[in-house]
Amino acid sequence: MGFIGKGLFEGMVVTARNFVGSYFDKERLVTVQYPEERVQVPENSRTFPFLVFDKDSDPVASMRCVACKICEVECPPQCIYIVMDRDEKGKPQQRPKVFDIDISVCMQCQICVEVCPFDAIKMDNNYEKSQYGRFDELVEHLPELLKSNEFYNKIKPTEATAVDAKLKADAEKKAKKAAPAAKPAATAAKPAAPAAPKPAPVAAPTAKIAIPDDAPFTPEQRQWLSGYLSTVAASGVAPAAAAPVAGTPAAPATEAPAGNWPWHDPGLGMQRRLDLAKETPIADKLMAAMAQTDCHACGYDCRGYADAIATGAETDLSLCLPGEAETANMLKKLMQEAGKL
Amino acid sequence: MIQPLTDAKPYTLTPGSNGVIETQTLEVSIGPQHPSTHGVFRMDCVLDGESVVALKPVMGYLHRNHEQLAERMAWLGSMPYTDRLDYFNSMTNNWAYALAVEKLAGIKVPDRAEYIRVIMAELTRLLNHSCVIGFMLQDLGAWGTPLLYAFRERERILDLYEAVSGSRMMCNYMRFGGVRVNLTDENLATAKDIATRFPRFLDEFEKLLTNNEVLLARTQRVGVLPKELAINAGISGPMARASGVDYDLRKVDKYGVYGRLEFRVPLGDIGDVYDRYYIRVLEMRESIKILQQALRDIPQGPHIAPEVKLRNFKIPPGDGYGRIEGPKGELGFYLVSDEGGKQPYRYHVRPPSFINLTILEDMCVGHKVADVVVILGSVDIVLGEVDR
Amino acid sequence: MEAIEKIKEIAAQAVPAAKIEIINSTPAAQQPALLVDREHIYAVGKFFKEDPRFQMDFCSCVTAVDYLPKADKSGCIEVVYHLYSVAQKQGPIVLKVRAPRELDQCRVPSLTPLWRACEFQEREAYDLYGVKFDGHPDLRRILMWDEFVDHPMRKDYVPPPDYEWEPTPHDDTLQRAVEEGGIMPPTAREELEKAKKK
Repeated sequence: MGFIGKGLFEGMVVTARNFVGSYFDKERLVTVQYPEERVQVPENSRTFPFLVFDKDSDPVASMRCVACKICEVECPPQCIYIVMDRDEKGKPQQRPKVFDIDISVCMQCQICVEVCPFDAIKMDNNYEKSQYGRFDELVEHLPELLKSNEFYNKIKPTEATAVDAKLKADAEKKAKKAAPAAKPAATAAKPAAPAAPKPAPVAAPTAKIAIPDDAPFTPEQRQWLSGYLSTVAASGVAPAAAAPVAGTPAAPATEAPAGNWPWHDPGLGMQRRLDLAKETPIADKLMAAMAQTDCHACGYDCRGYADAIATGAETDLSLCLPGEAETANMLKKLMQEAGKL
Repeated sequence: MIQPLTDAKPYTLTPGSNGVIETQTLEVSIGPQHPSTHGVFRMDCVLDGESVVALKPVMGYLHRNHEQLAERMAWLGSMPYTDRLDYFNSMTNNWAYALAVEKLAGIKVPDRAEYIRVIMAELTRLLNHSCVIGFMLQDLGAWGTPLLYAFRERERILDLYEAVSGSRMMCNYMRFGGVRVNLTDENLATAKDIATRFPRFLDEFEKLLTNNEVLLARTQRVGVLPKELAINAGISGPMARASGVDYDLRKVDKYGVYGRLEFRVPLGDIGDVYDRYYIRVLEMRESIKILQQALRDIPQGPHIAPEVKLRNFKIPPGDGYGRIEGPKGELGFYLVSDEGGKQPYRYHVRPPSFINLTILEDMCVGHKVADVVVILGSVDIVLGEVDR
Repeated sequence: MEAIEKIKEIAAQAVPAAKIEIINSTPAAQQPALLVDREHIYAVGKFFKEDPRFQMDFCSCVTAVDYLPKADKSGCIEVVYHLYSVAQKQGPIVLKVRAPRELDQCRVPSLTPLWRACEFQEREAYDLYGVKFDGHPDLRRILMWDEFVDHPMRKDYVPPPDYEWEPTPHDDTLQRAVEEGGIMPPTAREELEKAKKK
């Protein structure tokens, strides 16, 4: 039966079997010679976030992000920093001017992706992010963060297909809703971006801005820059083009599909929206003071939040993140005027 | 003639010592940078020759005030931070926190989610116990052999975690009222594959270790923890059960769906290091049984309670304590919510490996200093959890 | 386990001098606690441990909670003990004891002589909240280093602005966020403003 050293001997047999087996048995030989060989990461694998845009020709304008700042608030280590883009009159452009992610602080938790109502921010699976410095090199700005929907479809096919289908359904629903109200608006919105969840971006005359051929840019940078510059130029032109439109709500190049609320258009300024809601009940006035992005940052859409405040179900007036202090102050003022505060 | 160095006196016996060399106790600090302390942990030992006379654990080198961080953010925001407590077992940490919050808010978890949680928790137990045995053996001087065998198996489980949750170790998988992503049939097949293969690995592992004479000599009757002391000192998990304390929260609290699953609680007899090793092997075998039942019984259905809001999640004022049987012992979260209820007012973690260190001195005194490392290895600590 | 009212009655009979109150938890959690005065917490704890009806031999969790003074009530530090019974597989009985927030008066009797499990946890409560446990065999700091002066988990604790400061790109970002009216949690904003003033 037993002899002294039997346990040791059996153990040796096990190690010997593993040692010899590692030459023949794939199961026992688990080492991969990185970086020559790579293990394929699963589809769900996540590293750092990126921002999705829809059209290659114009990444900035077709960006899904509307700068609602939900992710900035919800990010547990507070590594996101967003500034909303505004034209020179101070009108919000529904897209970020600055979107920074500090990847030395980011802990890859995916909470930004989960809370985003626009499917604008997604997780990349590139794990090779080493840099030569530990300060500015580790902050990703808009140009690095923007990646196309095709790229997203390539790295996470299942998830991206589901997202695309959902966005398409949403857009169709919106178009259907808008069709009886303002027909030209729907047709105008259609060619812009059928998959884009946000209302059609400011129709930008595609002023092609030439970048000198000898400028020191890689093709990707060049592509991005030309897109960026053309939107910058477009936003410079836009106010002039939009000014007459604002006066006549029937002429609808920028008027988004809006149900029965003419002020439900994020492109309009605060004053203009309030003017449109002048003769309406308090709930509508409150709604007009919101940022109109339906971002659900407050936990409702714009309509729901206004109704909740008006009925007294919601007492916190500072929940509208994209509207920032402007909305919060206006809500307070409106409530005081109505004698409810 | 060689001159002695300046100040150095030639050695003489103390007058009146009758030729016996006088000795004194020696204070030795093991750690914080010592491979066998499993991280940045220090033991201040007083040694008489090689025997330990007194030992004080010193911790806090990895303290990052996890509790205060949690008190500054929304309820959901702490979920990814719980991954970083005991970074070996992020799934069970997630579950403990989710369970405590669900208790406070009165959330009912769908059946499928409960089964998914059980599957993930038992997989975590497998990987934790197998690696802990590996680490303990490493401390014994078995170098990497058992540890690497354990890591090879752990890799399969981590691959499943990555396929399901997106990350190998920082899973951030559980949510209040369920889990984040549903398991696909493919994932379930992988889990089944792991459950069928693991016993084979365990047999091999046991052949390597259980009857090994060196292991027996180094671990039997070393670091004995009596049953009464184990209960009184709040020791939980495999450590308490190795001392014969019949207390397994899966049986006592029957949280999740453990009430419907059949398994036994292995109990030790003496409470020495060997018992703690063998209890873990037996627990892994029970875990495989649980896994097989859960994989057989898992129903279809939603993976998360639909009424739970991701944002602006609020809890009515009050407090509550939720606990689960983690691989290292009783992992509990004591949460207080006040008016508003958007953030925890107080968030306290009851970390098993921190409290299991209470009796380290009692177990070590009288043993040789080489045994201290083994005893610490058998306690199974992770410094991320001890220091928080 | 009996209802909490019954438990309170039994405890009050056993330790007649003790003032015991019931504190409710959230409606869903159903873990009401017994608030015991400082003088009798040890006697009540000893009773629960030794009484054959309860046999609370396992002290699972010890922690402190800091309640800041509010308009209608004064603040306090509350020490919470969660007791379970391994022998009878029942529990929890939650014991709470309150002490004033002032550092020199913030003392409660230690329960370490009853349960060794309290040893490290009471040290932690002392370290992070400044509760002094009378009768604790070895009351030292455990997580913070010995030279540290304050108690960092207190709600009114203000970290020094230069605390382990080193430049990161994140500093800059936070600074800009404040200057440009970005949104950040109120605590972070306060800290930055305080740092700026100094």
